[in-house]
Amino acid sequence: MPWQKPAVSVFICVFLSFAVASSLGFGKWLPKPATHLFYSLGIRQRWRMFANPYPWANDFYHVFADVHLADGRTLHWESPSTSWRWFYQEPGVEHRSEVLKGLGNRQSQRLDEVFARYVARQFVDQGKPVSVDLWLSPGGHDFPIFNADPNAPATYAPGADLPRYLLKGFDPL
Amino acid sequence: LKLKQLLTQHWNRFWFDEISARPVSVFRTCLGGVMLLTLLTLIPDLDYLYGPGGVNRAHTDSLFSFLHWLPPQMFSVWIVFSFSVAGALGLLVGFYPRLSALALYLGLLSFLNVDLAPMNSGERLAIIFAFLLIFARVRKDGKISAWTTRLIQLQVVVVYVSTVIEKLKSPTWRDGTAVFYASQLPVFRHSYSHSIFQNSFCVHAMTWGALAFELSAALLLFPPLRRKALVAAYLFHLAIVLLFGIYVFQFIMFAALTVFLTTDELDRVLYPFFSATILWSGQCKKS
Repeated sequence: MPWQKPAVSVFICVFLSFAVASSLGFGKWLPKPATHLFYSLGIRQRWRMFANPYPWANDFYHVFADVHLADGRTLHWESPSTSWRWFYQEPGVEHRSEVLKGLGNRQSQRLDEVFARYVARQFVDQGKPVSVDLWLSPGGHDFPIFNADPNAPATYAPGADLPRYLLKGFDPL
Repeated sequence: LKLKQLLTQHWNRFWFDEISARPVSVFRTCLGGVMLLTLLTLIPDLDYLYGPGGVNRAHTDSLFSFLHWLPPQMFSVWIVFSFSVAGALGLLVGFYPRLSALALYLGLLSFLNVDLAPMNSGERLAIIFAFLLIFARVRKDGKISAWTTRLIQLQVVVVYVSTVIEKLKSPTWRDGTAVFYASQLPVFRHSYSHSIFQNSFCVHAMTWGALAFELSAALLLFPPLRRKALVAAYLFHLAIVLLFGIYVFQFIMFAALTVFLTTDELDRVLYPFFSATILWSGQCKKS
């Protein structure tokens, strides 16, 4: 068909332009409707695993939480262990890493409070949760700093203060 | 005018030549296999991640997802999940491959657009590849218009080049210590590789070596050094699997690298393993 090659050529150019732009972080420069379309299509991309600067270098963390109940009790929660799966341990870990980004750099907080509320929901049958403390490992005092001399004592990154989430208007459902 | 003609000629040859569909068919089979395993191992976390009482829903309401159309129940999650599994299985065995690619794409997209956080980079790459495979129309003579194969190849190049650029922004990659920090995370910490990551020379060699490989692979994956670059690429991803235990992304890259192989190379190395599924699809017949 005569229109086929030009149409495919346009598709190729558009796809590659967006792939390059979004993977290099220039996606925001594109027109908003175009960005929305490509996001809807799921072809956004950013390949920066391990590329973030220290201490957020790796994006993989384990999250812990203390849930404070109205009666004064504190209950402990840990993100589910997935170590039994040899092949695939990443979805939960990926999610927790997003949580960490919100907690750590305060720039992308879209998930942290949602996560705190999720943890609180796990304890509603034991009382009324009023606040949640989240923390993570590694990401602070337990993260070693590279030392070229293997015989030298290990040094660690300074600890990080993490916020407490008050569950105002908390709806367990 | 001559330059325009020359450019058009090269453009048409690169994108629209009729080439063997076998590399794309093998890639499709591998992608289906990896995604099938990936999806099946997601089952224990389905409720935690996507269920109505799960950790997160509705951050991306404006984007397409079957889960936005279906009632907020676990049953809906299972429907979308089964849809994705059917797509992956279809790709694996070559059952209506384009339709299967569409099913896998829409299924994964439905999960991605409900909550993008749990998706690892391997699954996001799988979504892009499944999207491209929807357009991989194979003729009865086993030929395919080159453009889908080329887009998959260039997508691999985009991954390598962009990751180098992202990594070079980080001081730990520039000073050669980034691999040490990656190795210190509990999920990647293995007793058998511990001593390697304590050795300063190994850490620097691996950090800068990874950068050098990723940059050069993007340039060398095409002739004339294609074969050596491919061997290096497979070894590179194998090393990540063994040292860090990162599977999904690496296996998908393994699969994607097959589109750089020639038909002869595939016949020699892979055909015995995949002939059954490729033939079932009726797309590629061994000549």
